[in-house]
Amino acid sequence: MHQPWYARAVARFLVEQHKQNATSNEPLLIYELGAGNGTLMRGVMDYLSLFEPEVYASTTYHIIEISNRLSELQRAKAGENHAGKVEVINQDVFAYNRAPETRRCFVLAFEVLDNLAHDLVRFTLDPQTDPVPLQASVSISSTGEFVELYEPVQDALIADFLRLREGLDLPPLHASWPSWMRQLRAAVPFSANLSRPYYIPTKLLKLLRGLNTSFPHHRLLLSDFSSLPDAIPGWNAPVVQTRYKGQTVACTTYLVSQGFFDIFFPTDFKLLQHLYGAVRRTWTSESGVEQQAELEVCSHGAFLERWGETSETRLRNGENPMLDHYQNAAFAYTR
Amino acid sequence: MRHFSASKTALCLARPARYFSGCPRIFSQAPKVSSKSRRSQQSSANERFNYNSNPFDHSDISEPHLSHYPLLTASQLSAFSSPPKRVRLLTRDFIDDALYNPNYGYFNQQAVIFDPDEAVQKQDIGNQQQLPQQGFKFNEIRNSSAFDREVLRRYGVLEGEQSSVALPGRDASSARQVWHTPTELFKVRHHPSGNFCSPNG
Repeated sequence: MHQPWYARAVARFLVEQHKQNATSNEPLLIYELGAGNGTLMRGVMDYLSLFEPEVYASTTYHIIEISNRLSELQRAKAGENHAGKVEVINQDVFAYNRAPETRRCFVLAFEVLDNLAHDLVRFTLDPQTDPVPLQASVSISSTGEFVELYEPVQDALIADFLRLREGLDLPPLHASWPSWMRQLRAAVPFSANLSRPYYIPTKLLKLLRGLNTSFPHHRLLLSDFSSLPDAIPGWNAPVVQTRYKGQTVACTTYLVSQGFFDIFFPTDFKLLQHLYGAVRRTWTSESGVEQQAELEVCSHGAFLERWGETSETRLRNGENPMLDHYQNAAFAYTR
Repeated sequence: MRHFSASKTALCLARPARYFSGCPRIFSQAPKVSSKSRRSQQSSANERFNYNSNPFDHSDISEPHLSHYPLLTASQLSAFSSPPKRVRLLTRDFIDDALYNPNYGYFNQQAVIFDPDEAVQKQDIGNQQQLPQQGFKFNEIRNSSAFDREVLRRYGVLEGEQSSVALPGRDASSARQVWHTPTELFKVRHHPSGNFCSPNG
C-alpha cells in the first residue's frame, strides 16, 4: 500500500547496472559521500535485502562522512538491520587516504556538490589589454570585517581549472568584448573596472581527480541542483541563507559571519559532464586503463520516472510530488 | 604584489556582512553614535558596527595591512576555536571554513536534516520513542498543495519556537537549522511490524 520511493529508485538503478556489468560472484560495492541522516543507505539496503537477497549477500555499503554527529546517526541507522554490511568512515573526502579501491564500485553523491566551496575570479576590463582573470581573496580585518581583494591568479588549483576550462568544448567562461566596446565602456564615468564575478568549481575538480585516484574503477551516480532561486549576483553564484525565527533569510553576499549561513551552489551539469570526461581521459592516458568517461545527465523527474515506482507517490488527484518537486534538480551517472 | 580593489559593486556587496559581524553587543548595548565618535571608539573597542555606511567613506577599509595578512587555507583554520582575524583566505577557503570548520562551521553547529518522522514523533508521542520509518501516506494526500502544507507543518514542528541561528552568547544547541532533502521526503514507509507491505497490499 505505502511503499518507498526515492531510495528505492536509486536501488533499482544500482541493481540493474550491477547485473548488466558484473561477472558472477562480483560483489556490489557502494561508497556514498556525505550521507546525511543515512536515509538513502537505509532505503537502498532495505530494498536489496527484501527484493534482491542474492545481491544483498554480496553488498557492502561504505559511507564517507565528514561530520562526527551525522556519522554516529548513520551507524545507528545501519545497526538496526544491516550491521556488518555498512561501514561509516568518519573522514573528510578530501582527506580520504585509504588504499585505492581496485574493484569496481559505485560512488554516490547526493547533494554533495552544492556545498563544495568554489573560487571566485573576475576579469579585468581594461580597454587596452585582453581580459586577465584575477583571483579573489577575503581579507579579515582585526575587527572581523571582510574585504575582497583581487590579484593575478597564483593559486595552482584555480590556474589548473582555468586552463582545463579553456580546453573544453564549451564557449569561453568570459566572453571578451571587442576593443572598441571596451573603450566605450571605460569612458563612462564610474564604470566597473572588473567583470562580474565567476564562481568556479575548483573543489569539484579536486573531487573528480580524487575519485580517479581512490576509486579508479568507479561508476558515479549523483544528484544535485541544476539552478537555484535567490542566488547572489554572478555566474554560477551561490545561495547564502539561514533560517531565523522560522523564516528563510537570503543574503546578497557570501561575506557573512562564518558558521551562521548555509552557502550552496548550483551545479552546471554541462560543465560537470565535460570536466568529468576531461579528468577521466587524463587519468586513462596516464594509467593506461580504459575507463568510461561519458557522464550522462537527466532531469530529476526523468530519472525517477524511469527508475522509481511512480504510482506509489501519486496523490489522490493524480499529482506526483516526487516527480514535480525538485524540478531544479538533475541526475548524472556513468554506466 | 599588486592588489586590485573591487569596484563599487563589491564594496556594496561586502556591506551586509556587518549586520552580523558578530558579537552580543549588537543586541544589548550597541550605542547609536555619530561617525566621529564611532571612529574614536575604534581604537579601544575590538568590534564596531556601522549602521549607516557611507559609500564615500573609505575608512572602513583603511586598515593598512589588509592585503599583507598571511594567506591561510581552510585546513590550517580547522584548529581555530573561533573565526580568524588578520588573515587572508582564498574565496574557496573562506567558504570551506564557514561551512565545515569543526568548531564554528555551519554544518557542525547548525544544520539538521529534516526528518518528517521526527516531527510526528515529537508532536505525538514525545521525542524518546523510536518508531519504524513512516514517511508520508502519499495515496491519502489529496493534492500537491495539501502535500506542501503537510511538509511545512512538520517542518514547523521540528524547528519549534527556538528555531533561529544561534546568536553569540546563546545556547547553540537550542538553535536548529533544518533543511530537507528528497531522500527524506520520499523515503520508505515501513509497516509498523518493520516489514514492507506488498505492493498491492
